[in-house]
Amino acid sequence: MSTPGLSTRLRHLAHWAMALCLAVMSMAVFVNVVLRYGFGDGLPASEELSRLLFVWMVFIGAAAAYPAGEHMAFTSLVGLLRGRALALMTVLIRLLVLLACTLLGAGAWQQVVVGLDSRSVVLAYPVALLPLPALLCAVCIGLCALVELLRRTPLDLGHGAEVE
Amino acid sequence: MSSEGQAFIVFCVGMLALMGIGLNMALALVLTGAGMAWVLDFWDTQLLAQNLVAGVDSFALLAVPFFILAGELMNGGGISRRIIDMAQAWVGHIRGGLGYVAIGAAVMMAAMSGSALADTAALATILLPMMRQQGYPLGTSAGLVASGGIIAPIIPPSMPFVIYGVTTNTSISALFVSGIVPGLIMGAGLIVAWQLVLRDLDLKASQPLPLCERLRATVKAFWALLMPLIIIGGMKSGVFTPTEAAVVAAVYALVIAVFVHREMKLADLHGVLVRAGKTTAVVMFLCAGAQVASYMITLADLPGVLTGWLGPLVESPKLLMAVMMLVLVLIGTALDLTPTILIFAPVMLPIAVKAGIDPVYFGLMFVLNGAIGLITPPVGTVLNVVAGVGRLPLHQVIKGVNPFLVTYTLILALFVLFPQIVTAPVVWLR
Amino acid sequence: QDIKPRLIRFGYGLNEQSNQGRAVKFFAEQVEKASGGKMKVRAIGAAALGPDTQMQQALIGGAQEMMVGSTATLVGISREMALWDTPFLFDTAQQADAVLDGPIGQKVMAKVQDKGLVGLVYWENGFRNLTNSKRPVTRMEDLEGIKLRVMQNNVFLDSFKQLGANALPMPFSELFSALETKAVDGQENPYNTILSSKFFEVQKYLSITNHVYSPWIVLVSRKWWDGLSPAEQKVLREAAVASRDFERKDTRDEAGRALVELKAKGMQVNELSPMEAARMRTRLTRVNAGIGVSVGMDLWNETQAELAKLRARK
Ligand code: NA
Ligand code: NA
Repeated sequence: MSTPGLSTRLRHLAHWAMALCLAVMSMAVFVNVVLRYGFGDGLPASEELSRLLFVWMVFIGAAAAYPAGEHMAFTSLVGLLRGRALALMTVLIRLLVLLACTLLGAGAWQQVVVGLDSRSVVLAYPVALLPLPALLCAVCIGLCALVELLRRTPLDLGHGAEVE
Repeated sequence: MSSEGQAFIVFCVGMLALMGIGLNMALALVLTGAGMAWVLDFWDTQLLAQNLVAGVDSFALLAVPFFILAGELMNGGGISRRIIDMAQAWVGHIRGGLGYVAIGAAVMMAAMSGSALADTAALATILLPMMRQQGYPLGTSAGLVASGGIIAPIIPPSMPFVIYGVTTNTSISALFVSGIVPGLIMGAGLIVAWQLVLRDLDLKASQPLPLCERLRATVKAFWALLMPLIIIGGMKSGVFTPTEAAVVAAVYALVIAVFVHREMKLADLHGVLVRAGKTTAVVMFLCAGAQVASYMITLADLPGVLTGWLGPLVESPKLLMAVMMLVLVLIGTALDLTPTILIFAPVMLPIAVKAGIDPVYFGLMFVLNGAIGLITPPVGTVLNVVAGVGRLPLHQVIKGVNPFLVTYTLILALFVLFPQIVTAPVVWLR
Repeated sequence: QDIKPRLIRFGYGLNEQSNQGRAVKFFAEQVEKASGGKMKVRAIGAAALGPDTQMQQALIGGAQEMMVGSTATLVGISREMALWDTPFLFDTAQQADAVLDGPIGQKVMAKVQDKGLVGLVYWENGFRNLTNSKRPVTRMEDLEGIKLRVMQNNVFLDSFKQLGANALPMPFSELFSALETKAVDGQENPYNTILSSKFFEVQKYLSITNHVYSPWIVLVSRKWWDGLSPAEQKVLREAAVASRDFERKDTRDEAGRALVELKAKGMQVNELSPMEAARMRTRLTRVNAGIGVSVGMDLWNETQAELAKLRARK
């Protein structure tokens, strides 16, 4: 926002990170199948690594999807509103988003602190790496909602992403 | 009032009010869960955050991004198109042939892909322009394509079955097997419905293609046709588990797209990965939010509370099933398949099990009903896709889908009355 | 009096009808009785509070009061817990009881204190045994070429590789269908699990190897524990000890019944001779050395000395 294009660059960064996570996840699981069927062997780290990357990919993606208006929401009813009622509802929705993110952020922060002292079984990564993406995601979405609230951005009533 | 009763009220109000006003569904679920935690005396923000992560942190759910990836690669790499071309070569000349092409291709693609949206998008992109050009009524054509698209989650592999299996702790492989026969019945039902619709249409038959042309189209589709054999054969023969089948499908589709069909370059992979990642993130964020709510649903034993209220209904499984299906049809008008599974499956399945209904049969019926919800107005994502791809007004598609919707509803009723149609083949096929 | 009204949320992984569920219920009754009904235990099973690892983090953070779970999943929090993963460590349940309840078990348990957990007692999950669909395992050589799913833990993977099997990691949730389609040939778990997970439907041979003794550990959140009065702590400690004795007896009875039922379901059962067990133990010297290093040589030597004493006594 301070520099033009910062949000674009952040979005590109998020996309690269997601693509990387998905590519490594796929390889980890696929190589494990090949090793097991072909050689009766396996990658002990395959499951743990792919799950961790999956969690990161989802929360990075969820954070990126918020400003893009791609999250699932049932907007048929609010779409009927006009004028002051719509404005009021817009403020209410953003306050609720902010509330949810504050609760999640606070909880995730405590879990990150707690997880610093534990390690995963196979890879021995610090367990804090699991709640960390949730913390970052809650902070990102919360900040976006705050900015929208202050700027009074109109509510996005599109269908969002096409997801079943 | 007991804290469980209060939790039930919080759940209902939370769902209706928070979702109704258009709040992000995942966060609406989080707040509902938080409210239930409060009245259950289970309040701790750590639990909210923990469950948000736990909703995603599951190996079986990895099948979701892999299936989405496979769908993107099939559509981008010419696999879907070759299947449709082949169907076209064999039955395209019959009166109303493109309709049969759509149904046949939909069933074949369902055996490779796990997602209704990916299949529908491919079918609509290729078939709707052809149907338009040959003077097919657009609304009905679009309705048929949309109805064909929702066979994808019923015939294995299937993304919604994976989500259902993880959410309710039901065997994913059993669910997969349970979908084969009902999926084929759906295809057959569409053929009958299309024949009935055809009677009122002014369409001409055309010259059939010579046999060599037909064989050429079949040979071209060879690698595409091999895909369901590899996926289903590989699962049955123990080369890989259902979760792993998804990644094998994706890798296979990639190899065919890049090295055999040469319709994609490795450089295109980044875009494919990003699109699959984005779609996954939105679906899975909902899973994450739903886990927060379902943790509290379990703690409050909502299914137990509801079973108590349903009373005598629980004594009669078929009646209970009919009632639950009706409720799901209503839910399906407004809610898409994934949120329906995530929110209602954990509540409804335990009730069904208490009434003695087989959990795999219930899963099939649940997903089938939810899939039909994808083509019911006012909110039907598959309808949106078809309308978007075909550049048609939504109301025209809604009208066109009606005859097929009636067919599917009849099939659903048939399965309620005769569960053996679903359960018997599961025993043979396993 | 020093006992205040308290609600204890006690999470566990198996369902209410399992040995674990029965023991938690017993513990709850003991606590209520001893506290004059002031301390109430709310038992929540079937992993409704999440898998072991999730509950551990909730306990450390003070979001949940108590749990019982596997010691193997605690290794990431406290390395010393890996001691109990040692293959062929105990020959009999009596040896296991003596070591777990004695100074060594207490020393290992005390290590989780710094990490925000308080260990009360060890319960029994049971000796792990081997099932497969290929052949009875009577000698080490029979393991050759068997695709065996083991717990996702480097010690187990290494051990079975050393013994000649193709040890494969795989999540438990995928296991049944993998056994059914023969993506893997075998697995290893206590009798109770083999029965409750219906592995007998897809596995023909059960070999009584007793290759690892798996304990469960009853844990309390340290954040919450430190706020309790000594009287309240005493109530919990005593109820825990009573529940331990109840649980072990109940579990052993059930394991006996499970074995009978598995035979009745058509599993072909064979026992591994003590001589073969000794051969396997020798083959695992290198793996054991690794465990010794990671849990600390002092602890390792002390355990071996104690076990030598116990074996000599009988
Ligand atoms: Na499918
Ligand atoms: Na709908």
